[in-house]
Amino acid sequence: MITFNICLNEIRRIWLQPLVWVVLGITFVIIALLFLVLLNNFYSETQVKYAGLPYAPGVTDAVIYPMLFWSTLIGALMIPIFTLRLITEEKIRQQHILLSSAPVSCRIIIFSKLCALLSVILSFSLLTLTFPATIENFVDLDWGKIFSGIIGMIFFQASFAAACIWIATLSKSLIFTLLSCLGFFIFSFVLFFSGSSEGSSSSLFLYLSNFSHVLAPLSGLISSQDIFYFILITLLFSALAVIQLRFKRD
Amino acid sequence: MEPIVQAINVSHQYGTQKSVYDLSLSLETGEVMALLGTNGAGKTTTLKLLTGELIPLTGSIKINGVDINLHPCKAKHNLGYLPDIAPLYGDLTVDEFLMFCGRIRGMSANDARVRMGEVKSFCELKSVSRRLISKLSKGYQQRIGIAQAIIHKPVVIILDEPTNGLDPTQMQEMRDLILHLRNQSGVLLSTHQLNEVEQICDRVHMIKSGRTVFCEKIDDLQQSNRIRVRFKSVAPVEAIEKLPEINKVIKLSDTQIEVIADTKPDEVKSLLISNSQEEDWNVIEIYDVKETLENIFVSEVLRSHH
Repeated sequence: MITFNICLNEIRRIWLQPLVWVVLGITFVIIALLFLVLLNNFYSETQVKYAGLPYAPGVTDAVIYPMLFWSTLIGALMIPIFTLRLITEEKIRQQHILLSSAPVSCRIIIFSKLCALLSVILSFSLLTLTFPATIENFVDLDWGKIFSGIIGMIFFQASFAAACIWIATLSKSLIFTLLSCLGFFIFSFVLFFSGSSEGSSSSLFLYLSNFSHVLAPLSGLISSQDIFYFILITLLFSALAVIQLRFKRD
Repeated sequence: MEPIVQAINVSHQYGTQKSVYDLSLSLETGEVMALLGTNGAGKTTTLKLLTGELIPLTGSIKINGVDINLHPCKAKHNLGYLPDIAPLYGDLTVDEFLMFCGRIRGMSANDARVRMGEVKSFCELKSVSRRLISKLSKGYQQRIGIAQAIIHKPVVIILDEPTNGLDPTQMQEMRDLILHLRNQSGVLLSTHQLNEVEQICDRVHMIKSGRTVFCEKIDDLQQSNRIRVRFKSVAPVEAIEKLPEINKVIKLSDTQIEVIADTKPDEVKSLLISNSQEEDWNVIEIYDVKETLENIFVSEVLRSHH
């Protein structure tokens, strides 16, 4: 019951922040513009180019897939901002002492922070679904592919959120946390890029990078290997964050 | 009866820098104890050790008989803590915050609601129940800090500089609140205000560079074995030195001396008065030299500090 109350409080507090609404608003304006550009391209160029060809890409592949890909990246980039609010600012204002002096374990504290971030991620993912829903009456959409992409987006962002939480437990500095989270994001991308580039491809680099595990679900293919990877990464960074909180007491 | 807080030979270090050395202290129910020391003496570290926020290098800490490092959750049920900056969620109202504090201490929703009403009356927070905490004054925020620390009726209440940043009226109100707290719990507070300690504390524990330098009951400080005597003419120092029970005579001026005795001050005064009548010493004034906390603080902490 204590765990439930703490999670509920964290979720409630993150949604009380005007910052969350502002960031989500800005993000959706960007995604909406992207969606309109992709849709316009499809009608003015792609449709004309592939007209009459068998297995030509439809709206799901030509519009929704790139939109989900960019939404995944943009959504992931907003996570460090919420992590700063949830953990680093609490440490600066010494609000974390309320939970650390209460009969609450470090596991529950980290779990509640992750739940709060997951609430934002889930809301973001569900709101992203409104874009394909607006054109549902005019085109044939492959909802299986779209839901697969949304699941990939949720798992990708959840694993990145866990990594950001761990990074935030390392320091009290806002700048350090923000730069480290972005650094982790770029590092993961570089791993993917170097792992998949011609001549120097490395299956280890590809496996380690979370980017290589999100592409398949985004394109409509959910494999247990990718899902297992994301769960493993989320648990690993959550465990590291718990260890870091305990270590701070020594 | 077992003390509600018992720290035995507790040490702690930050990296290679030792911050607390073999510190032992105990607190009884109904007692208010002050932890005194200069900035950086180790007061906050000691409080963090007692609340389980830091783990000691050596020694043990028991809260109501439960070792806080072996069973932190169980021990923390008996503990209320107000750090130097009150840990408040400014984006919640007073009611929402206190309700949350009750629930995370394992209280049921009904119990928490009932207790919240009691605590709000006790801390005089009823008028601001529905206000956002961030919009309240420092005085109110400090009261909410106290309220969150006592909502679960803890046996031990630990307050780190509770009157810090308050105006004189708010300070007095906070002291009254602390005095009321002793009815249900033991209170350990750290402060720089010596007058505050004399007003509300039963015992004082002074630390310097992480070591205990003085620990005494406030009442015992009032009882001194030093007596000052003023004479109309030159003080008969040698004659007084020869009197029984007189340990030492310090000459302050030609006509004034300070007598340090082994017995109670009243007995020494009677002895001096009777001898004065017999020997015709012309005593004008005779009085106890009372130890003030400030004198002790200066001699035990500050003087050896420089």
